[in-house]
Amino acid sequence: MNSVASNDSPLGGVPQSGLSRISEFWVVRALLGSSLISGLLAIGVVALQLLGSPTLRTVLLIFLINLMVVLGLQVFTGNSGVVSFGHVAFMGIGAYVTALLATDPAVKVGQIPDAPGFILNAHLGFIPSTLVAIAVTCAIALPVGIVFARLSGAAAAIVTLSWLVIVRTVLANWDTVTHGTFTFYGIPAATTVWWALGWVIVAITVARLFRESGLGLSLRATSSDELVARAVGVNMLRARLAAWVLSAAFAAAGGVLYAHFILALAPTSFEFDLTFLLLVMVIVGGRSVSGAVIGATLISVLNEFLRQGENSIERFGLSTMVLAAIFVGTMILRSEGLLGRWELDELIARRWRSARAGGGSIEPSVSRSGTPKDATGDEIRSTEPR
Amino acid sequence: MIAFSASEAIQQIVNALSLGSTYALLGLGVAAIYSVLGLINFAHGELVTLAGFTMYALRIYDVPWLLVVPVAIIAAGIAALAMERIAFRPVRGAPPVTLLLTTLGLSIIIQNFLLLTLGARSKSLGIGDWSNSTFHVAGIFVQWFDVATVLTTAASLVLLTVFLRKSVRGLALRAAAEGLTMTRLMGIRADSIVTGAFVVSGILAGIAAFFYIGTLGQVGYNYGFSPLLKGFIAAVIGGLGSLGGAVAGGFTLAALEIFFQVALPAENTPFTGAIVFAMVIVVLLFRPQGLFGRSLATERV
Amino acid sequence: MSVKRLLKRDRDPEGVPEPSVPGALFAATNLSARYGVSPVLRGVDLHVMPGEIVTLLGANGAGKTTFLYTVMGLVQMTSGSLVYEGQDLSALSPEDRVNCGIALSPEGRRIFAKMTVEENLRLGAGIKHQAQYGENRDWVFGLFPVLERLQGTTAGLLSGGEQQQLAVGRALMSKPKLLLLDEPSLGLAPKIVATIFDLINSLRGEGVTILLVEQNVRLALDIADRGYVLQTGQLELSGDAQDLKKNASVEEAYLGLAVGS
Repeated sequence: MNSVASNDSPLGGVPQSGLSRISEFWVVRALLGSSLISGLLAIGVVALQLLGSPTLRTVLLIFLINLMVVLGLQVFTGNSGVVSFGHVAFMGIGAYVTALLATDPAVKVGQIPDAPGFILNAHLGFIPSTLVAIAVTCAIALPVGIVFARLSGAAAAIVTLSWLVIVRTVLANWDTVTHGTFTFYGIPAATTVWWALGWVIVAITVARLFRESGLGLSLRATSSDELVARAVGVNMLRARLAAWVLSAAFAAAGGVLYAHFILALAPTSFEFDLTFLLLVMVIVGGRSVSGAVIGATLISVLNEFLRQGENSIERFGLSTMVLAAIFVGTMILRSEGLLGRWELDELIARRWRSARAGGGSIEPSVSRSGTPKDATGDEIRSTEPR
Repeated sequence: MIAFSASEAIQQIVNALSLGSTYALLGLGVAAIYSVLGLINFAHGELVTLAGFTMYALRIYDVPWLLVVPVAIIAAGIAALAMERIAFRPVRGAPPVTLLLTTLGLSIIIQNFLLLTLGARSKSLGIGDWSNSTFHVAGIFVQWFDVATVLTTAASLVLLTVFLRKSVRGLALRAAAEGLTMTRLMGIRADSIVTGAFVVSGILAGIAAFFYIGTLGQVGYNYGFSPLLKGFIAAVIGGLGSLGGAVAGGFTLAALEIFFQVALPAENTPFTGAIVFAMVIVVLLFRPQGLFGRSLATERV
Repeated sequence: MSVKRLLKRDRDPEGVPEPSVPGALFAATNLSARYGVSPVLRGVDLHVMPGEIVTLLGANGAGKTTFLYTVMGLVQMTSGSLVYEGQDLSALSPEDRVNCGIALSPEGRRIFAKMTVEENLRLGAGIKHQAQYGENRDWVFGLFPVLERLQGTTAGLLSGGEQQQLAVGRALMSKPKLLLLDEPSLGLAPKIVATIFDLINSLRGEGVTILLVEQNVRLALDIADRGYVLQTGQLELSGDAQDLKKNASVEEAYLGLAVGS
């Protein structure tokens, strides 16, 4: 794998003094690190919210909602290295559950008269509805995760894609409950910038804590070299499952925010286009938490400009095409993403340390990958060297 | 279960053969690249749409079909070549995840490029009256188009088999599926093997395009997703890495689709897709080698 | 000529390469190579004269197979030189090196199991030698009659000894000038191994120069003209095969043959 050079361990992010056991220090490190990126984010959000036009504020809110789901993607794909196309499905589930529970029964009856009583009569507040939505999504995520935690690479990609399609099909066809392909309207408004920002900051903190925790480290070890990690005894399945369910929770939270913002749902909102957009954010930014945030910021800004350009010249498809080109460019030039799997605070710490050490690079010249390659980049699928 | 009359059953079998042929071609296209490189080309569906748009463009100028089809097939082959040069070669040797994402990005780029240049509305592409004409046999009506599908696929398979068995480059493709490095040690350039795999994949996509797009009667910028999925499912069911398996997988998929379409009550037919996906997941989990192929677990790491 | 002990301290610490060997078909000079991050070959000097059989010996993990892979270009060399027929190999891709006339019969045979014997041989001729395919194939059949008998059989169904013959025969299909053999005795019963080595010896008369990597010291030194001994990536001994054989008891301990290899 293209690990960034480190003479520490394949895990990256483990400090130079990492020979000592990772004890309660990791909590402190995680909290400090997440505060840094959360602080930066908060400053930006507050500034835009107070100074920006109504349009800008809407874009900002959408950005935060997307960021919520992106953080979920980071928790799973960023740590495990397994690409998931299925998180938007969890976003959709979360959105629909909260929609069904929080909407006024009088409004529901007109749309889904044949729905079960407990749904029709439910009229929960914002917080209770959110909690139930997240709980239900996690409950669904658990068996799905158990089923596919073993898979990697192309298999996982296809399975998660299938999951997206399955959920989408169910949402679109379970007419009695979801109102099928028709819009489900009447969701009470509850999402504000401050709620969204607050939840995102919590998510950043939790994601960072997970990354530094035992489970997170296990997961990142398997992403670098699965065989070695499993040989050492890392319980990959458990770590992956934990990440999967946690990430589903984040995605569901994003879906809740979305539902109570847009106030009307249709299955078409939770499809591949959004999936790809979010994936680009995580990959381009770099697979760490701050990488995801920075990637989301950059891509959202870029996307906004491109969309406006698109609209003004009436040539649709341009924004996505440019994003995809950036995506492919990232794969070719720097597949680790901008931050290269490091957290922002880790990068700063390394720069500081190397500056103190006299400006010399502390990174040994490590070859791009640990696996033997020949001159043209082909891996040698041979037995061990004799 | 609904009771069948014999002629209805035969009708469905004919449908399954025709549909299966198209799926078999798509599955082969996906398997061709996977068997050599361990890579799922997410942009395979775009090869189909590109061939379809080529046909559309030529038909605008009233080019006869006899010319349109070979040109479209060649166009798909060239597009596959370009894909290899532009998107695959720069990332050769990268971990599988990177390769996968690169083909995905490429797929999106092509789709949006088509959207940008040709617009969102699908272009209608009528094959012509002869495709709808039927003949009567054994109590059922058979479309000539279906017959053409099955025969063309059979011919393609024969040609492909001859290529793979008799020509050195074909042997090299099969050998590369067993071990690319060993094949290079025969003095056969890895580049030429990879290019060969892509070209074969492109040609197969082009042939499939004629029947796939022809059945739909139209082509649009985002029409590539479905052929990609069909091809992938066919290849998985048959066992990724096995070309014969991909063909078997294509027919199996067609049989399953038609079965569910007929067996399920009308309001549940949209769930056919979801059910098939669920079965794919089951296959991937419990029998990753499919019917004939090698396990996904042994893909290049 | 006696056996040279090439201990590290005897060599110039700067690692200045020795001048290339005149008249050699192939020469590796001060060759170092790396597998990922870890160095596996250090300053290896080895040469093969035309028509010779040279053997490279060493215990498990000594670097013998890595050496062959480096010669073929599958492993990156970090310093030193590889010269074949007066030509510097370092810029050439593995395929180009094969097309220059070097062929490898790899460790574990690595034949294409799903293809027939004949198809394996056809591939051995590569794209370059397809015109001479029939002629080369008949030559190989002459050397390995078993292969002619089994030509339609799927390679995966052959016995170990038959597969070894196929691996060597396949390598010969390109009429190489230099044949690299990696542990042909591996995993084979003694009687079969004897047959294989007889066949290898007979190749000498066919104008093929051979570099033989082996763990079976006795057999290798029986048919070789000269030998080298590799230990953890460095050359420790070199000399005439007869002289090396006289050091047999030393070699046994030295190579750790007593320790379960």
